[in-house]
Amino acid sequence: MIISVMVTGSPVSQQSAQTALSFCQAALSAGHQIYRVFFYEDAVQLGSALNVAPQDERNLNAAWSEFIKQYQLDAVICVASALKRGILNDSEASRYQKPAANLAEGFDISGLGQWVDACLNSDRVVSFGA
Amino acid sequence: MSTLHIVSSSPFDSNAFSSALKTASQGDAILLIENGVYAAVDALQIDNLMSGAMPDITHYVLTEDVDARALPRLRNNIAKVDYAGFVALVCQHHNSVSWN
Repeated sequence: MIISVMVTGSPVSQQSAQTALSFCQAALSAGHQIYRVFFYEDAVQLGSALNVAPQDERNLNAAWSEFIKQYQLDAVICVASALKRGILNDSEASRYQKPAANLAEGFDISGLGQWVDACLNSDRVVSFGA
Repeated sequence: MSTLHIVSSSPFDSNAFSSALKTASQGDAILLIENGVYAAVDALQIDNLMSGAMPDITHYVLTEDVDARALPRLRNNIAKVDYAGFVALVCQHHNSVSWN
């Protein structure tokens, strides 16, 4: 089946980003296709390349980033949520005259329309987070 | 058209589980994940929440989250699934609703 996943929970204070990652891994293992992963609200923090995890904790940003690269997934970060939380790619950084961009490799910044498109093109959609 | 209700908050913290019980209709399933697994414990408070709920709803709980919380005793009308089972449940039902 074609599955899309929305993640909304904060990766630093909620379990949902971890749950969503395990779910996506299990879905691919079962032979399903992931059309898109859409990161929304606090989950956009997963797209930051600047977070540093303590050595004795799992680095969820790195885990998601590696997973997305390994399977060439379409990973979209909501632009409105991202800008509010200081997650910028090069074009947004120059548009708003910010000193740097910090979007991690493998992620794209785009709009909620990409989630509507995912709902239209997927057999199943699942949402993770508050 | 059946629905999978995914409950991720503890019944002692939020109305997510109660809302799922009230909303679920015949043929639907409820899957407890994250802190939602506390609704799987064999306890009087959970029995009270469940009284009056639709009888034809299957209840599942995510094993990984039960084990992570070392829950001792689960009610006997609930089935354990792993992440592969979670994916299978999503595919078996036409829609999913996430309750927090």
